[in-house]
Amino acid sequence: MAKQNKTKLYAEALSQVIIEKKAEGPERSRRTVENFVKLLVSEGLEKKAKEILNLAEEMLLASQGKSKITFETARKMTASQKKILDGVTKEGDLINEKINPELIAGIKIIINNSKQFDASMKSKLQKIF
Amino acid sequence: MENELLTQLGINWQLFLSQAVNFFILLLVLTFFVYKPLIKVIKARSAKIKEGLEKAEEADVRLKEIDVIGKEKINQAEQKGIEIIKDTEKKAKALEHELMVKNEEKQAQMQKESAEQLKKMQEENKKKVLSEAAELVKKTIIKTVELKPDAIDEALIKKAVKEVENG
Repeated sequence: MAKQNKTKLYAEALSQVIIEKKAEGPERSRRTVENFVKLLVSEGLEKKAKEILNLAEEMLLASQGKSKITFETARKMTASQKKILDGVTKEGDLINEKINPELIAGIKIIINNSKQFDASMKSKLQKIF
Repeated sequence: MENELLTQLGINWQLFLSQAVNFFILLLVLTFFVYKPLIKVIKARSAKIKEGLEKAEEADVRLKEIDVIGKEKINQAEQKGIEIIKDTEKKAKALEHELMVKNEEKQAQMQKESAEQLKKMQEENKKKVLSEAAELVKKTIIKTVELKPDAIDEALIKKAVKEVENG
């Protein structure tokens, strides 16, 4: 629980610093992140770095009213399929596309690493059998 | 008169007297040295024989007593033997019964175990068949999906979008 709070605390700190230094340009933001990573290494939190950075990214997006959305599909999506997905995204959202043949068919939508909508054939087969 | 009679009879009283004395002497000698020791020996022998007879009689009585005791002992032994045999028979019957009960219990247990094992095997087989059938159905569905993946993808994506919209 304490570690979870520490992760959140670091993520909040990073997102706030980035928001504050945003006006100083992308180079400044990049340097801030680099220094932050160095800080994590010096604090012995390099194993948690990915988790903290992801959380900071989510917080940053949330502060701007945006979301990080991951679309996981069995194969590359067609244009018509992407168009259907426009219904769940809005402008400025950070979209990731991931191909996972194990899904067989369908899609898995992950929003801000917290919400997950699994409409894949793999999950449906698992539910049936 | 008397002398005449003795003479007529041919008896010389002097000779007669001397012979009488000799006879008595001989009688005394024989009495002391033959008759009495002989009688003593005979008496001793007789006593010995009597004692022997008594002992034989006593032995006979003892023998009869021993015979009676022996018969009693044999009877007792026979009785005891019969009792032992009866007791052994009783114990053997009890043991037989116990063994029979145990055997029946064992058989029942074995039957129960066999039935359980059979049931388990049937369940395992059923599970295996179901698992194989499920795998087959899965493979069939996957093959079907592979025939027309885009249409299925699209349908599922639409469903996912609907789920996201509904929260």
